[in-house]
Amino acid sequence: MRKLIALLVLVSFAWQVQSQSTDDVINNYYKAVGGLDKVKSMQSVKATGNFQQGGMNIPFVMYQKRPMKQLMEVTFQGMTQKIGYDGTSGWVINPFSGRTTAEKMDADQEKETKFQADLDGPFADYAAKGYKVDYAGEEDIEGSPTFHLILTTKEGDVRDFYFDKDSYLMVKQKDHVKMQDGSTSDSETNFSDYKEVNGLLMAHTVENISEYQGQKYSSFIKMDSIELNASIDDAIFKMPESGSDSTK
Amino acid sequence: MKKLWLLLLVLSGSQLFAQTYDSRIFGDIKARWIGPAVMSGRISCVDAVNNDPKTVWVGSASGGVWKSEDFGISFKPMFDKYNQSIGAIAIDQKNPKTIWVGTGECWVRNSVSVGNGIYRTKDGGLNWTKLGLDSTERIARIALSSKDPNVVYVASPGPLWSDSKNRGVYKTTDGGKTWSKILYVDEKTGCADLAIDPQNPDIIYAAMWQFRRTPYSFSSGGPGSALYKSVDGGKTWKKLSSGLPTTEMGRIAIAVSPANPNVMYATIEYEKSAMFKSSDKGEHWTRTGTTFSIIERPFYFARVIADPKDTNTVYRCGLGIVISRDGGKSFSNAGGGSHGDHHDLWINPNNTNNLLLCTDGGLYISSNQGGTYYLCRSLPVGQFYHVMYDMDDPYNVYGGMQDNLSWYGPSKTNTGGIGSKLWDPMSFGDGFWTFPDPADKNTAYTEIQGGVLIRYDKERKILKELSPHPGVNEPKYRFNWNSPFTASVHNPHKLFLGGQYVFVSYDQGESWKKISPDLTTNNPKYQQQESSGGITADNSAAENHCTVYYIAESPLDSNVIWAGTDDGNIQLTKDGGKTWTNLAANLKDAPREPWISCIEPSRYDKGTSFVTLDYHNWGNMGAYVYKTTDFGQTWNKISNDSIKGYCHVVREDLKNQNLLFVGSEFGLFISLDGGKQWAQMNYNNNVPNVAIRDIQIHPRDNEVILATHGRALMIIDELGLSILRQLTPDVMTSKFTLFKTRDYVIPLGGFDFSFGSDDEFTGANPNSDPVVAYYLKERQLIGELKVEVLDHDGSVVNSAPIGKHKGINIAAIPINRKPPKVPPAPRIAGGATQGPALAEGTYDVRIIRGKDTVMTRITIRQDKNSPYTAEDRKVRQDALMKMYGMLNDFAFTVDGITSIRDQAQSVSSSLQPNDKLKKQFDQLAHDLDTLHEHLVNTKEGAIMSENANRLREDLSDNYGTIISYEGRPNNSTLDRIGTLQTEMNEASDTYQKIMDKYLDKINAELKKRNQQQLTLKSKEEFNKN
Repeated sequence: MRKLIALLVLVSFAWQVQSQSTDDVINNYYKAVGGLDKVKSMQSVKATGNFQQGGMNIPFVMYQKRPMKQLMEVTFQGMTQKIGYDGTSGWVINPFSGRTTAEKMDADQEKETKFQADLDGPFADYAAKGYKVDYAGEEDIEGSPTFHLILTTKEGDVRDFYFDKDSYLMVKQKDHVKMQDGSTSDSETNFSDYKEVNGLLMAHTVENISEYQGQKYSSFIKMDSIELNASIDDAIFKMPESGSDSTK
Repeated sequence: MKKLWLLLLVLSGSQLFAQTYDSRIFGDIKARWIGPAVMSGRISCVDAVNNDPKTVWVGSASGGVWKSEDFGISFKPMFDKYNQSIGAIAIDQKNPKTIWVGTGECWVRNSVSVGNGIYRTKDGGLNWTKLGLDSTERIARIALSSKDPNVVYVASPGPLWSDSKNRGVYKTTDGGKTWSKILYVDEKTGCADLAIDPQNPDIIYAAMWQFRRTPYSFSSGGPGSALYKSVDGGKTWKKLSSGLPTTEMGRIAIAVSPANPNVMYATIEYEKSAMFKSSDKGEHWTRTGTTFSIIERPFYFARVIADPKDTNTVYRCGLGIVISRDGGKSFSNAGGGSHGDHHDLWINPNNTNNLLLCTDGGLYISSNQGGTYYLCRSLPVGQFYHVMYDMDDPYNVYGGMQDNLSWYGPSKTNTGGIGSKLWDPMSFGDGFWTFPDPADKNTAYTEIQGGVLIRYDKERKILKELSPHPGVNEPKYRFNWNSPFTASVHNPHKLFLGGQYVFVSYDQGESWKKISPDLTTNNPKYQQQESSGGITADNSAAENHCTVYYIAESPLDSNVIWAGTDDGNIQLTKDGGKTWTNLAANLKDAPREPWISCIEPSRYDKGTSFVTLDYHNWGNMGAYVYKTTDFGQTWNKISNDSIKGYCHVVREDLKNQNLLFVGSEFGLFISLDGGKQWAQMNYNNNVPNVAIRDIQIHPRDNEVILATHGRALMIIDELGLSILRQLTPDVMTSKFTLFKTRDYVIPLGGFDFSFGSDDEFTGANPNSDPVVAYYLKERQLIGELKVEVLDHDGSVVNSAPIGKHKGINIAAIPINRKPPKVPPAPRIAGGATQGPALAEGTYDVRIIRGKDTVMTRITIRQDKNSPYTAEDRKVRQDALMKMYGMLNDFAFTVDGITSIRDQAQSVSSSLQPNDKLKKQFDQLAHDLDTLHEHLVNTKEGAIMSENANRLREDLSDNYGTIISYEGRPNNSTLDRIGTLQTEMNEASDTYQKIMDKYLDKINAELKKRNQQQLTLKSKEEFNKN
């Protein structure tokens, strides 16, 4: 009988351990990737890799720097597309369509770029950023159990995040973002191939999934290297006065 | 403590033993939705956001909840994880991201599904919470208090086929956490409609309804039916009576005028069914209209909608919707050209011309108060009963559906998908068994409810009726709503039909012969359909009973024929119909009198057969699947709790004896071990919890075709089925197993085009990618998992990351080389964005998983319908590779030109203006720039620059022409390769001349000055990036 009680106590304790709050999931997630302190001490990121879809490998370099600066350079047929965000506004140079001068980023892309430019990720100090985050219980994602957080932005965009139940690493993100044309854009992203970079676990393979009439289509972002705290000139994030000369 | 661990181990161990696989195993196997949506399907309810009417929420009868954000042009399914039978939808208009969904359709026709409670979302449908009322089975209305969104009233008619206390009016005051039943009459009477006073939400009206179905009858009405009113939020109720019928009533529909809540309308089913109006909040009523259009089929059409602005305008849903503008006295048609059978209507309160109408044939939009309508063609929610295939290539799919005829259309196309225009209708009415004549490609058979048979001439589109009729002194023939009608699997000229007898025809239905006695119980108690309906007679063949419901021949012996009836008999003949034995009594542990919904004689053993027993018409929703191995002498139940809901169909795989499929009211269930365990293939695999009414497996193409009752037709492709066939216990206990997959067939890439529009559903084609498929026991988050495709010489052609989740992964592999190199210019060279694919042949594929490497192979081959000879293909491949090489060479040359030019410019700018060398650098840069301008169109800003092609663009265009066609390029394209090569040679010569003229000289000078010389990249270096 005593053993049975012990068992029950153990089982209920185990259940309590499993019971999560929003902050539990967030704290454990940051712990899992190497600690929030370490995340916050990261001043910049330079990642190189490839977009891969249907046999196409398109190389990119991504720069991120505090506060909220980001630049993505994508090279194809010797031309380099630049997608920049200087912390407050975004710009693009899109030589693929015949332009080599910078123009202002469209509002949909700017919203998304701004969301991504946060080096801490959205969950650190989420309330101060104007996000509402709710724990929505456990959910089976592609066969494995996860903890589910729902993040709602001030604009009303909903973004679901799923964290592996064993490791607390982020497994999946689903975005439901209001677009300028009034529609909602749904997208899905899977994270895997976590590797340690200066003490932080970072996903080196990111799968983007789009859906059309019940069928799903995948493309991948594959990181070849991620470098932390490299010195990056602030100037590269600023919108250039005139276009780069990369195509001449 | 050790013992404790042991105990825990034993506990978890026993769980493992009990179930070795579940839904999670199916991973990337996806059903594709082929529609059609040309006729949509039954829509039971609708709501829209009053202040943002482009946001529309639709509840379908058994195909879930759909949301539109563009007023019905396009829809997304929002409820695929949950019950698909929808009774009511209510938007919290003050917080329009909060939506309540009540499951269980309330239009209780014979084929209606069942719900499992109420759900709510607070984020516009992304995440849902189930909030109880699980046993109500159906919900007819959800009404929110205008004062407090946490106060919600729910009308539940309750279970259709049994007595139950779980019906009546429910109320929550805490947003659905707890419910109290605030109005209850008896176990036979539920609430069919509810209305709330828009100004004083404590005033509630409830229409209580006594009703019941049995397998053989329907009854609407009785002493329980009445109209109630509460003025205190449901604490106390009074029965309304002044001016209302004094005889027994049936179904009542009510509406309070939003313009003036004193005014109410009600249609009341009783011996003189009519519309009633009250002008004092229901205290007194006047009988206003009695037109047939407002009283027809009251159990099926029971919605009254008061115009939001005009108290004298009221609509009533029916066979056709009607409108009254004189306070319910006279009615005119308001259905325009819409499909008949109307169930719900939303009127835009800010523009009352603007309507959303729910019908048996989809959702319709009117902008002129019902004069004309537009059909929303993006809702694939057809309710199919049966499905069949032919042997065309690609094969066609045939099926019949609730109130939407019988159709056939292609299972795939070589263009972008299966468009609505590709489906052909074959008869009218409701459609059931529909199939091609196995011996005559131009002929197909369909059927209308109650055994009305049709033969269809596909070419001429002519219908002929074929039903058998009794002779002199013969009893009347009885046919089920959904009568078995099928072709023999042994004799392509033999047709079977089930009434109370089994009939056969050998002449395409011109004549019929009985091959059995009455196989049913012929119980007279079950044959009172003439008096079915209750207060209003309703005899549509829907309640026909004591009929044969399923006929199946043994695939191994044409003399072995099984017949199942709707009153519990399983009859077997082993001599082609001379003698029949009733095996019903041998189903010893099964309850009595099920519908024998399916019989599946085994193709592996003559004495083996499977049956599904359906008791839902008796109020029992359980799954009953049985198997016999001795011609029905003994039966074993092979279904267990893993199968949810009553079962419609069981199928044995054509190649793997252990692989079984069961379709139930709540989804698709699969056994990988001959029926010991079952796992649902669910929304993760694109199969929502929708009724699966029929399953067929195409014997040539190895595809599983699903007839869903609510989400039209779906197909699990050969890729998925072949993996299911390989899922042995060994695979499922392994950490990683590679499956054999189909060859990669080079797509023919047919052309189709229609001018843009977002409003039409298009059925999906199969996944045609080159793939690898493998099983992973656990999700892999750490470490790489990638695939490499190798050329015959062992070099890596390309590589890509692949899926890492638990269960079955299916991943596309790259068989294209990297795109050709193209010199930079201010716009993309559209023809040269893709690398050449590997030619036909078999290639090694390497899967790299952390430190482990697994080898497999992929075979690339031509489509069997390909018009290209091997010679054509070789000419094409050689030409393509030649152009690929030329583009790469050209890019290298141009890179040299621009690189030296830029270096020269850079040195020049560093020199003093009077430096004698400066001129030479400037001349070199100038000559190279001139050459560059000659080879590459460098003009910025022009999207259209057809006439400004330079060699770069010409090379890219020619490469693009070759790669976009799989056969032999035409002669001018082939000749052009030589022309372009000559131009390239000329350019190289010019380049070389310039270099010869300047470079050595300049570099010698630079060397003298100890300055860095001008350098060129090697080709290897250039190719690295």
